[in-house]
Amino acid sequence: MSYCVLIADDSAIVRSMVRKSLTMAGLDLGEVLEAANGREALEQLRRTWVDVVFADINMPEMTGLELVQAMKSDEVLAATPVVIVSSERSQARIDALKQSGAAAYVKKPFRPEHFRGVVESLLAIKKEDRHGR
Amino acid sequence: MAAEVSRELLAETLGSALEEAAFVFAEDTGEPPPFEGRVIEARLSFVGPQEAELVLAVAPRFASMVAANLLGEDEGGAAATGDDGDAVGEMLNMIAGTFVVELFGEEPCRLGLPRVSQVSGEEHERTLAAATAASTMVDEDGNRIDLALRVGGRQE
Repeated sequence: MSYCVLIADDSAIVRSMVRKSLTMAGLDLGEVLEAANGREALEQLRRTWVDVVFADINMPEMTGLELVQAMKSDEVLAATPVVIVSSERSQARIDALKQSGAAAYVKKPFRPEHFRGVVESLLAIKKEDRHGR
Repeated sequence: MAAEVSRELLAETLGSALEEAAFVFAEDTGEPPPFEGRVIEARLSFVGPQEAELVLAVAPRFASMVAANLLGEDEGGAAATGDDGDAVGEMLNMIAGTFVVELFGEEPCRLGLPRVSQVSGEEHERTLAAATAASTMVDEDGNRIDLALRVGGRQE
């Protein structure tokens, strides 16, 4: 089964880096959507089914944290996991992001293997949730 | 604060970020070669226990190499073209993420967005002169990389 992912980052080069890392990680990717900020990401999520979202924290218009909060308050999007991809190193801030609903955290600079473990564990959890219901 | 602002702290943070993210090996130098032509400057403000601005400056050719390395492509490769300034901004973003934790520890700190522009060598020297601390490094090919910090916030 191929996964549809959405990459939200205001830097085009980071979006390319994440896309490339996901491919190199050997993940079976279907459609890869991109957004330059949280608001654009939210619009795409309301139009297209996405399995996992990868989002930066610091983005103009709507931050990654605001995106997570908006998704959590949306019945349809609440279960879609958001992986925060950021250069933020403060453990307190990372813990706060997870408490707000972020499913996982990948620190920049990253390697393909960082994504593989995160995506596989998230999608396995999601699959279990679906079967459990 | 967890650490004091110093040239050494800047050099350490810059050196490890270049190595880890862009596979560039550089050393601190007290005798930097002059920038020839335009300089790409990325600026990023942050507000924690102190307000300050980091400035990363490189030559356009070095920026192209960083863009290619970040993407794992040959210099000038299709995906790298046009992303040079963006790559310098992203490098600074990664440097800032590490630097503020070294400086402030777990104290709350808000990072701004990187802003990238091209300036003349003279303009860049004025930025360095106004900095609280600055480190200049040179990579294996003689490319100059500057990282400066100005305590007191954003300079227009």
